[in-house]
Amino acid sequence: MGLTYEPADKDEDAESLLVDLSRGGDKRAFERLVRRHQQRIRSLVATYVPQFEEADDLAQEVFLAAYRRLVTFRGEAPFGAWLSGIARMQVLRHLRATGRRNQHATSHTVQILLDEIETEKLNNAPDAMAARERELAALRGCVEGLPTDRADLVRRYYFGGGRLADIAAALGKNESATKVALFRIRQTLRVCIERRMAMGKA
Amino acid sequence: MTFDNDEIWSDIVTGGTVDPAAEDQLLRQTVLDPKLGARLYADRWIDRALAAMPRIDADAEKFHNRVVAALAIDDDEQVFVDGVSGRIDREDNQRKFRRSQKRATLGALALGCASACALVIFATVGVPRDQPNATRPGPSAPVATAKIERPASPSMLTVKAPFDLWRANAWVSMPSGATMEAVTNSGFHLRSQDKPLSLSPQGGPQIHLNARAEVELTSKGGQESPLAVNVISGAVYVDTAGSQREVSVRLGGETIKPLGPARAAFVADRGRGLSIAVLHGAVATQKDKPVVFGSGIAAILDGDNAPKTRSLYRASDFGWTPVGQERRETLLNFDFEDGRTPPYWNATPVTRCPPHAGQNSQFCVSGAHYDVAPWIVGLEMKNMAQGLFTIEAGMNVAFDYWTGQPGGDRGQVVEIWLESDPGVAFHYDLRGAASARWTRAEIPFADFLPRRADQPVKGLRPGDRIRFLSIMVLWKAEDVLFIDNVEISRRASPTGI
Repeated sequence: MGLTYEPADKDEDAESLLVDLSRGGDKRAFERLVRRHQQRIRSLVATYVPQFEEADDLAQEVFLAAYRRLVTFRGEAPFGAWLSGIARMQVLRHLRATGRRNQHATSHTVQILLDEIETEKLNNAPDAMAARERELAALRGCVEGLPTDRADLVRRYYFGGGRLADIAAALGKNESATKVALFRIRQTLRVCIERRMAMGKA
Repeated sequence: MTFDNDEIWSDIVTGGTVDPAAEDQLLRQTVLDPKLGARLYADRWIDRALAAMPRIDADAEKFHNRVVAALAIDDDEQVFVDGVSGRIDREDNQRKFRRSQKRATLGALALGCASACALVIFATVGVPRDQPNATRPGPSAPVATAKIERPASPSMLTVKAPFDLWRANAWVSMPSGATMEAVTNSGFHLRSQDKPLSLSPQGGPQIHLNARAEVELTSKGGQESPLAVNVISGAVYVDTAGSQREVSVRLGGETIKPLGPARAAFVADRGRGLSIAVLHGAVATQKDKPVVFGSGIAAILDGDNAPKTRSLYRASDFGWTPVGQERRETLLNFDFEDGRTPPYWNATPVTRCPPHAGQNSQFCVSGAHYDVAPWIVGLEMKNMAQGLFTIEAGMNVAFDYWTGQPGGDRGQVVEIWLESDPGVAFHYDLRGAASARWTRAEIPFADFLPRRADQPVKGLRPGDRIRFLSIMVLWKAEDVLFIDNVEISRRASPTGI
């Protein structure tokens, strides 16, 4: 027959099998897909929504919406990208709703302005989620490369969940200086992310 | 008074109190300076991502369980919603059907007249009416003098072979040089002309029309709903072996049901009346007192009188070779006897297998648990780039399978998946598959069903390139699957009388 062996992409196969099974009503298969993509989708959504619990609820909605619309997934793009597309629509809907709410609430006006920029970006760039995903991967790399003292502050404030005043006291600094130090760390991370993105190294 | 923008922003991000004048200053400067806006925007998402990172990493399991629980609730809701929308659809369809019934006769006549009139006008004046430079006849043009002859069946279209018609979830295979007539705007209503035809409705029986036979197939639902075969004239063979649909045959005023797998000929002949010949299995009439005709019986139906029966001696009288007996040509064959995994068989080790009764076969391929779906044991053949083979009319896949004892929540299901070019997926369920013994399965590709409800293509068509074929046992957590003697074959040539 003149056939030659062509190795298959195992991961892609696994994903396509799970998607096919899920479409056929196999909930266990869809649960596997949730497990595979939850970290990515939750991280993505969390960058757009300030409250973690709210972000997680929205991420859950993304998976439920995907489950309901599974029959419409045609496999033209990877499942992950399709899921990110649903996340984008859910986040946009959320931002529009909270935008309307915030205009009547006592939110910071700068935050409202940034929300509008965010909505605009998401609306006009269908690949905004893919870009954010690459930025997130870059962020993880940049955090790992922080000098020890800065990494310690990030660990205490973000990962340890401590109060700013307590962390400042523990480090023998005042609260305002600690706040500014965190701001400087984020600036460093921003520059690092931009560099990594420019080098195509997420 | 001016404030430091970084400090104001830091206060905002960390949830501190902010002087309204400072906030106003930051807002104005952010509007005026897009770079500042971009910086704050980036800072905000980084802050949120860092805050979420440890929690996402820590409670992946909790999140997963929440989604699973939500899916269960969602499913209950979905069942309810589906039930309601299904009922609305049904009622809507019934309303439409009743309305269409009222218009049907007049509509058909109007359509027939419209097409006949258009033909006459075209023939008379030589150009269509909507052509800009047409010389149109005046009011006294002699159109009315032409005799309008309505065709026997105005909506029947003549189709010439070689041709494989895919319509309404069925394949129609025509031998070379054959012609047939088909109703173009409804379900299946076909009339063979000088050569026989074969029909393969999806999931249903194989139907064979002798020359000059006319049949109408009706089904109220989709491809798994009961199918009625109305034999209008000529000899029609129905083979229900492997059919997943309930089948009934209308012959004259009688309704006849094949009892399980059966192969029978139904003849509506003006000269000789209505008759049935049962080649295999049994069929039963559906009158007040059903009459069963078994294999080898020919019966002549005689209205209200008891049918006259006689023994059937020669199946060849009927000129059709049933499925399983027709001459076939093998395109691909894998017996694995060289002990090596053939090209394109993916992750399928060749092993020594349970003995085949009466065969000298030692090797076969063994299925593997899918990493991502360990409740499935399967094996696959794939060549996504070039494809494995191309579908032709009458093509089958056959293989021997051996699985362990039945188990799981859906019992034993051997499922075959296919993906055609361009990425359309089909499947076939071998329900009630045998276990712990070698069993041969032979499945026409025409019987494969779409894997997705929204799939634009409802069945495999001749010319489709198969790129992926998988055979698997579903719903069994720990089991084995052996596959041997895989064969892709086609009809050597269409059979006729």
